[in-house]
Order: sequence, then C-alpha cells, then structure tokens
Amino acid sequence: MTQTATTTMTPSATPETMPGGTLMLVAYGLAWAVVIGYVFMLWRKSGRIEQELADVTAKLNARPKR
Amino acid sequence: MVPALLLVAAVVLVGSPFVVNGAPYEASMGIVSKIFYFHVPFAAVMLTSTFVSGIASAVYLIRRKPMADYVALAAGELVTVFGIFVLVSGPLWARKAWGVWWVWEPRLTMTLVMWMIFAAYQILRRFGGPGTDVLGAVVAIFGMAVAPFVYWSVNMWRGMHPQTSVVPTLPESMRDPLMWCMAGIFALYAALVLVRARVERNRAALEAAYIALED
Repeated sequence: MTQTATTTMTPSATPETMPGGTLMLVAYGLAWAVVIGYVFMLWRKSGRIEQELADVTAKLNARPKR
Repeated sequence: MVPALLLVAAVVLVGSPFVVNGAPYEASMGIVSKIFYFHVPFAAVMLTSTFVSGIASAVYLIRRKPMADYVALAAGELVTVFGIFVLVSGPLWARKAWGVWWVWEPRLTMTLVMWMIFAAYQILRRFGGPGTDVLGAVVAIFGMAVAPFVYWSVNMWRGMHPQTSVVPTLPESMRDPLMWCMAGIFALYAALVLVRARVERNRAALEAAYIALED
C-alpha cells in the first residue's frame, strides 16, 4: 500500500465517535494501574534484596574469624 | 514516616473518585475534563521529582554521600513512572478537547524530551556498569535543567496546551478537588521516594556483602 501526502483538509463524513467518559475512565484506570504496578514491583524487589542480603550476611557471619 | 505517608495517600486517593465525581464539568469539554484532577498532580509530582533528582545528584557530585545518590536514583525513576501517566493521560484528554491525540507543540514536546532524558538516566544507571553514578548524576542535572522550560513553555511560546495561569484562577469548586488529589499524590510520591531510596541502599549493602564474601 502506498501512502500519499495530504495537502487538503477534508471534513470527516462520520461524526465524532470517541466518548469523553470512556477516555476519562481509561485515564483513571491507567493512573491506578501505573501506581499499583509500580508499588507491586517495588515491594517484590525490596523483598528479594532483603532476603538475599540476609542470606549473604548469614554466610559472612558463619565464616571463621581471621 | 513511610507508613504515615502511605496512610495519608491511601485515605486521600481512595476518596478521590468521590471527590472528582462531585466536581463540576468544564463548560466546553464536559466529562473528559475530569482527567485534569489526576493529570495536573501527576505532572506537578513529575516536575518536582526532576528537581529532587537533580539537586540530590548535585549534592552527590559535591559531597559524595551515597544517600544522595540513592535519593537521586529513586526520584529519577519516579520521573519516568509518573511521566508515563502524564504522557498518556494528556493525549486521552487532547483527543476529545483538540480532536487529535498528539501535537508537536512546545509543552508536549518538551515534556517528552525531559521524560526521555530521565528514561536514558534509568538505562544508564541500570546497564552502564561501574562509574555510572557520576555520569548519571550529570544526566539528572541536565534533566532538571529542562524542567523550568517545560513549566514556562506554555507562557513563553504559542501552543495549544493551557497556560500556567489556569490553576491559580480556578473556581473553588474545581480547586478543592484538585488540591485533594494533589495532597494524596504528593504523599504517595514522598513515600515511594523514601522506600525506593531504602531499596537502593540495601542493594548497595548487598553488593558490598558479596564483595566481602569473595575476599
């Protein structure tokens, strides 16, 4: 399919079909998704690092002192 | 501190749908204008976070305090996270208000450029290897330097985005819901910066522990 440059403005034959309420709900849904997704990711990352840190610290403490 | 901030954020944000629902429609745009009550606070937090990241980076470059680097990294990450919502909710609103999803006008373009600088900062810090703390700090300072241009771009250059005078001149019925949402999102932001900085401190401690284990 070839694409040609548009040089004139042609009014759309169909009326505006994008309802404002839907756009608003999508926006608010996205806001919550971004926040909840980030908090979940941070919670998992924090838990993993704390666990790993506890394991390595335990290994360090178990080593004989020089 | 973090639990208190999270509690404030939870109470305010759970109440926000009711507060936003009770706010009046903007006369010409109708219901879609209610995106405003989250779009503006997220944008305010995003801009604030650029300054937190930039100033913490400058402190790190001068004093070499690791905590400053952790805060810079946390705030820089939150610029990209909050920026995602700003950059997507804006077009959702624009589609109804302007009839197009995106226009390459000053505010939108500069916001995208600033977001990309902080996205580059994240990539650099994650995959750059040793020594990227210093280079990253410089990138964050550059990102912060763009933030004032993002804010004043609507006043300095002609564009489609509403000017900064909109918020101070809001009627009380619209200003109060906006301030409600602003309070919740700023409380959430403060809690997330503190938690993310603590995670980074633990990650640094883990690296040090692994090095000590290998010795």
